[in-house]
Amino acid sequence: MKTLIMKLISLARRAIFFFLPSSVKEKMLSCEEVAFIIGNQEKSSLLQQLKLYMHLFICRDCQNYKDQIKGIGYLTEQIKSETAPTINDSKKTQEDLIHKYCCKK
Amino acid sequence: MINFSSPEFIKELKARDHSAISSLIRKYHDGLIYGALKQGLGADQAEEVVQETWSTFFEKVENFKGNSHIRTYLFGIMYNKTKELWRSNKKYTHDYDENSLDRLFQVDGHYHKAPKDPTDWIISKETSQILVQEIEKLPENQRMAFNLKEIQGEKTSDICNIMNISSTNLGVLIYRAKTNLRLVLEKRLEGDDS
Repeated sequence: MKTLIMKLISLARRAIFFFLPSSVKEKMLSCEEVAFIIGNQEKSSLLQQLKLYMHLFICRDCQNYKDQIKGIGYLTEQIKSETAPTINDSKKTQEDLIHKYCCKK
Repeated sequence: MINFSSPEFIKELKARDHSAISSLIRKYHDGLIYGALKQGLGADQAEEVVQETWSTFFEKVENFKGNSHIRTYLFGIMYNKTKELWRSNKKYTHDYDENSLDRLFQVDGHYHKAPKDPTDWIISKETSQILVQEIEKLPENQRMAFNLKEIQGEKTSDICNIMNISSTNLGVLIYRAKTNLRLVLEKRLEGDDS
């Protein structure tokens, strides 16, 4: 059922795209440009953002790409939040280094 | 509170002042080890890289002009040492089809093979382990850029200084890293062999 609804929404979006004037269509971003903007999180102008959202509204593929990148973001957060690796004998090593480089001159 | 980038502090470092050296080592040693571990190195390699980093740092500190923060300078040395280790050790190098990304899009900018809906991806510890494995297989520069930006949350300007690249190049590296990762995750999580 969910898939069917999603397909209908996707179809409706494509129908909107079909009826857009060609002058507007020409100014829209391509999937490649959209992927680049989402992938490198570059700060874009308001107009660029508007174009991006417009493309994402119509294009299911780019929406999927965006969701995949978001998924990688969640996973990265999980990697980040994992406990910091234990660093053994750090204090002793630090003291050795201090001794080594202070007396070296 | 010590200002590690002040000319006075750098002067003290160049003069091998005990208190300056001990403050610097105590402040950044663990961070360097942690940074090296986050680049996928084992504990021994991380220790080795950091030892070499300090050695190079104290050899070159005479030439340090203070144009960047001392932390950026120090971590820059460490990341370069890490890269050297990656190159010298087969464990850290992987064959990667760099052209695969160029084949993703048609001439008109549309996908050859559309990305799949990731709703079924399970965000779990196992999946994040898969991601860790795949990050380690990325080409050297992409791996470093991704780790620095996304895992360690370094500032863009610092990463550009460390890697000696422009912010545009960094953007390209991050984009390519993420796209490569999404492709392999799609394959591994959905069993797509194509």
